[in-house]
Amino acid sequence: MNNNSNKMFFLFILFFSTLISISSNSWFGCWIGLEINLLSFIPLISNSKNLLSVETSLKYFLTQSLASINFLFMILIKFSLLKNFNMNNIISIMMNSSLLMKMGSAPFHFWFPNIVEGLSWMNNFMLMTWQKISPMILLSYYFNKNFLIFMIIMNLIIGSLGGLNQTSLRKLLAFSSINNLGWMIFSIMISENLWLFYFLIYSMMIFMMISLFFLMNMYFMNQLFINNMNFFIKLNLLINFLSLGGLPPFMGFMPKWIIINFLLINKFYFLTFIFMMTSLIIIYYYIRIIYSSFMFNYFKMKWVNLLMKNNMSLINLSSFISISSMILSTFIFM
Amino acid sequence: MSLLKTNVITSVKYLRSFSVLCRKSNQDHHLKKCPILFNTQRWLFWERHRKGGYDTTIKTSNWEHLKNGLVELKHELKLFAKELKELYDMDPLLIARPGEIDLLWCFNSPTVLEKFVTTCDSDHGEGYSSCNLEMSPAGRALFHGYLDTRVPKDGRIKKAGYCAMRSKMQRKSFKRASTFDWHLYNTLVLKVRGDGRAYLLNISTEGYYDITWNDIYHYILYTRGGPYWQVAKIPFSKFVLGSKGRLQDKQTRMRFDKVTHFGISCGDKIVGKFNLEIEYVGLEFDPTHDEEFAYEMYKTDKYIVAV
Repeated sequence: MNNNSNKMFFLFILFFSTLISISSNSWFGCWIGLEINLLSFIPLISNSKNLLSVETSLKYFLTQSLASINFLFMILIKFSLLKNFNMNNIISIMMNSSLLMKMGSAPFHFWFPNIVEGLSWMNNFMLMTWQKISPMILLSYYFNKNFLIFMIIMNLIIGSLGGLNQTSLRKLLAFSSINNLGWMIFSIMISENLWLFYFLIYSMMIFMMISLFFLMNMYFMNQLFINNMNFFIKLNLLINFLSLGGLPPFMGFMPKWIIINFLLINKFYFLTFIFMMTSLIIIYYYIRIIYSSFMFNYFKMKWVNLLMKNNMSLINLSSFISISSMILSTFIFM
Repeated sequence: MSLLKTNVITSVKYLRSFSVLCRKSNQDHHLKKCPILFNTQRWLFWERHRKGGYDTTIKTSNWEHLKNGLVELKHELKLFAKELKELYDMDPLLIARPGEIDLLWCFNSPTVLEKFVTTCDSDHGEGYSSCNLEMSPAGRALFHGYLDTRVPKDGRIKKAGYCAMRSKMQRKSFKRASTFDWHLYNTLVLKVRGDGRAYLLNISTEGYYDITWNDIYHYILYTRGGPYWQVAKIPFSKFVLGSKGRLQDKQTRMRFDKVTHFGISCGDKIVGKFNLEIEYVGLEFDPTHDEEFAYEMYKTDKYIVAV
């Protein structure tokens, strides 16, 4: 089904379902939004020409529907048993667990790299960005602080250590996404505006990375070393990866800086330590990849030209934004 | 109901869903006994058993299971330690250098032969062929036997005559199934010395769901009969997808990181001996090969299903 009008239809329902979920008065409305989200995402990712995407979409359906069932059950228990608004109890742990499973957060993350491996780049982009919105916001409505802090630590550690031994670019970005989920969960505990800021910048960075890989049709790391990329593509890769890792002066540092600020204000010193150490592990891995791609170029086959699907101006613009956004963002204080 | 039951006790049923009710045969101890009748036609795509209904378990007592388990525990712990060390090293193979052949199996010692399993149609009473995988006098693996296309006269099957060797499933520690990861490569390299017969190379990519359990990518390897070795470099684009032996109309790309088995089989309907000597099976990355699929696919009308 390579029909663009079908895709438009399901994309429209996908966007609409998130809005239903986050703007409903009742928990049932939230659950309905999540279900419609699942319903409309499955036709976008299942592509009958590829056996792997069929398997992937079925696995996605199974895990997400399990989480939805869990969520619905916990909502019903909450309605029938709890008469108070106290957030830090066992029911909130269960509800948060089901939402974390929807997002692919640790310790319910085992499906996430597997499924990301089976999807194309654009579908991955939807999975990593848009599909996180409604579970995040629902999480903010009824969260259990201590449980979420423990989950954040698990997310950070698993996201950083899991990505170390990967050769597939998709799985690498999946583990990076799990790590960034840790940052996002903390930001949503502070304030929704902060989460929105982090989320928008993260989405932009992921979009730049994914569009670069999509244009070059790269799915594995050996393709970075084999293709005869010109210098500017490699430079763009460097900038984007380092931005994703949160290195100043690139754009990705800004949201992390603000979150660390809030962490220290609220005296979460140990958590700050874990945030920073895991970021370092992730940056180590990114640097390993990009430095290798700069230096490994033993392949100078003259008749193989890197075919770019579109022109480079979008990529150049995105690099410019990544570098200069730190400076440009200071203009908001004018 | 009791009439049905007495019928069941006197005759033997087979679990494979396209069997027919038949009289007791001499080689029935391998097959499962089940009191349910099956029709000759298959109504579903659903596969009940991964191995197709054949009972291949070896019966051991509980005490022996315990003893074997303790020995295997030590072995599994060693494997686990090895995996942890690999994780700690964080040095996965990132590139396959062109012109280098990374060997999967090099058949220069008998221990490598334990990684393969041979099957033929006489194993479950479906034919009279025989095969064996052992070391040849030249010090390499020899897959040899006798192919017989005679059909056993009990009406269960219509065609007979196949012999196959297949690699055992890759395992991680603690009996977890794992797959080969061949995403760095695009060519399969075999050094064989055949007898002029055509052998079928099978790459099996069993997935997670039962629909893909029988998906095997085939390639017919024509061997020369002479005393000289031949090196066959077969790109993965030349393999064709088949399920349970039937080539599919809708061909899809091989999932290189989900390859479960590699096998060679002989089933060319020629009655007689076959000998295939194998020196190594390896993989190579050929950067000049940019073919996606070697065979022409036709665009069909929309009312033709499954393409």
